[in-house]
Amino acid sequence: MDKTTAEELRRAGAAEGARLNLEGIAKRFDGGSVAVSALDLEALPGEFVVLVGPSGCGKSTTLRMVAGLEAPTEGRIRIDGRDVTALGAADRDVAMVFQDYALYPHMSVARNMGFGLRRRGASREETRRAVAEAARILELDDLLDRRPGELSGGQRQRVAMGRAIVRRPRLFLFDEPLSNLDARLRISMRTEVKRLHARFPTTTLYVTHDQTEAMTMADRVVVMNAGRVEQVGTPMEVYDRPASLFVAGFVGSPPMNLFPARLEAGALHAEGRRILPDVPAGLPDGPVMAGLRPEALRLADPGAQGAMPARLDLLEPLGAETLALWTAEGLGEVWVRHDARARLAPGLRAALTAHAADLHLFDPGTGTALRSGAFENRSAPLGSPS
Amino acid sequence: MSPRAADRATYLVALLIAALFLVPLSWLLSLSVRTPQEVYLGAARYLPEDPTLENFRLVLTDRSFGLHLWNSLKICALGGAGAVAAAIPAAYAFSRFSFRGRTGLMVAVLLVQMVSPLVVLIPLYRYMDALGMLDTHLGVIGVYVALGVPLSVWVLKSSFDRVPRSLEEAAEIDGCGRAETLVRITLPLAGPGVAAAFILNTMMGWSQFLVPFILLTDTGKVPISVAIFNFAGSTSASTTQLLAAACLVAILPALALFVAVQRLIVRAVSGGAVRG
Ligand SMILES: Nc1ncnc2c1ncn2[C@@H]1O[C@H](COP(=O)(O)OP(=O)(O)O)[C@@H](O)[C@H]1O
Ligand SMILES: [Mg+2]
Repeated sequence: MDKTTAEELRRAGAAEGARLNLEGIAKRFDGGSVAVSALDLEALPGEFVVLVGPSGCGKSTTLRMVAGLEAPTEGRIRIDGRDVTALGAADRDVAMVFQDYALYPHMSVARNMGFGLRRRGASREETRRAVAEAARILELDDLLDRRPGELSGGQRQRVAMGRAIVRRPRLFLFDEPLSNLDARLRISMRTEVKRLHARFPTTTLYVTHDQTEAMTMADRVVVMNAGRVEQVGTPMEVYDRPASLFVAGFVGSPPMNLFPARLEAGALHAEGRRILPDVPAGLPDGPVMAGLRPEALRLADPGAQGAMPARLDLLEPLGAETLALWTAEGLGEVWVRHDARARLAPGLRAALTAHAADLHLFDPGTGTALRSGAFENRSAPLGSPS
Repeated sequence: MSPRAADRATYLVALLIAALFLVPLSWLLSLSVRTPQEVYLGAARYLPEDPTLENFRLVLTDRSFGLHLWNSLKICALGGAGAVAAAIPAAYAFSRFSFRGRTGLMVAVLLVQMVSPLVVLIPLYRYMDALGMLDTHLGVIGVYVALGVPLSVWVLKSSFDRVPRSLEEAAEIDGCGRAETLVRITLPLAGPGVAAAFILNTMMGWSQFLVPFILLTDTGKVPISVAIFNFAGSTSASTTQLLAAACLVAILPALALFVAVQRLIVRAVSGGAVRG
């Protein structure tokens, strides 16, 4: 969902779920380590926002501050405009799915799911009905009398989600809920979480270190690094216009190929070669970090202008496409996305080329983007106004 | 040393330690099945020629023996429960809150455990006298509680440590306050530890002699350990065999309890984490 859709939903009052605002929140732990610094974020009602970043970058800490499990050292947290910074977790009306699920081992699945409702004063009958409904949606009907210890990992994961949706909270929090599942289950649960969100469009803050999970699930992605937000945007914005070297190297699988280069009179030079003429950047001459997505590189005639001689090192056939690692003059090691039917073999010598329009440029000192590739122009859907 | 040799050494040491306790116990058993005549033969005849259960019959049918057993049970169980109840908040704080001097305090609690009740018995007697609690079960129970707290704190803390924090956080998000979380989540999951602490305390109380001996004078109120002592001191030596039988009957409940729950205790003191 892009910004306008969420905005429309909000105006129409169609979205259940709260608006969440984080205003300059920071967390410094007692030992002095800074987990999160000066973080601003808004999640619109019904929006699915994914916090993504490498391990230790402060995602969980951010989520736990929103939940009320951790108090921020600075800043305010608002839910629907109300300042909840000083409220405990019990008073925030949020639901959370923990990485280790945190199911109560001494209670049946049904009691696990109903516990929150009962504690908040729902009657036995109301609770039973809500649990039955959630169990039906998550296909847990047959497991209601079991203990968590008697369930498989995937089943526990579903119970943890059931416990969260039973309460119909205004805000859902997920902390790497799929990371303990095997790959196949992870992909199917990914779909299930999205389907659940389509059904109950509750505002969701979802934490993961897996950029694929972030890209596939998010309305909006928040890329974090070392306690700070690097970029906020839709998955495609983050992919097409990474705001920094960090984002460029983190998002995408394989990530963007990055190599040091120089701008000289509107052309890109690397290792003494002129790689790309006519870089339409209007940037001053000097050193840059250059980036090309694996799909921006193509095989070329070795004689063609700007073609870079390259040797194929290894192949990763994925079925629909093939990834190849090349060593190219000027670029160093680069991943290239090829058609699955391309005739390739390790050791092959060929040449690679790219369009100047696809080039990303970053400040080598600060890492901020100077220029982004122009994918969004070329991939505009047919019939859309230009 | 090879692993097998190490195993053997371990068994040897265990055997020696067991012997240290088993020899007097078997001597007690030997005495308890003798007739008064055979008692005078002493160790010369370890296995009595004419073993009898008469001593046990006499002891078990004695009305006052039952009364003293009941006194013991009451004081020990209430003392154990009281110690656990008093230790829970402290153990929870040690397990869940980080504060300055936590480790030091934990050690201090353990040091209190090392102090023999003997040392504090005289001042304790005066306190109880001042409080008017001499010769009351409540007074003795109070002392048992105090004596049981240090060990209970340690046992409970280690079992609280094994309850994952995320379970408490989940309960918090489900709307529970701290006390409610403790009662509904943490304590049930630390159940084996709570039970172990209670049983350890009860057994320690069972073997307690000095405290009730000093604080209780009314012979109708004393627990079995003191009653046996009184009995031994007040009658002629010809009752040695009865005394032995009484001792065996008195330690039997504690022994049976320990055998029944030793797995639980071992699990509580050394077990792995609670998994959700
Ligand atoms: N309770 C804590 N005490 C001290 N440091 C902590 C605590 N929790 C997290 N940290 C530190 O804060 C940083 C961010 O942690 P976290 O939010 O868990 O990262 P992520 O979830 O992104 O992997 C890490 O460096 C971590 O070591
Ligand atoms: Mg984390």
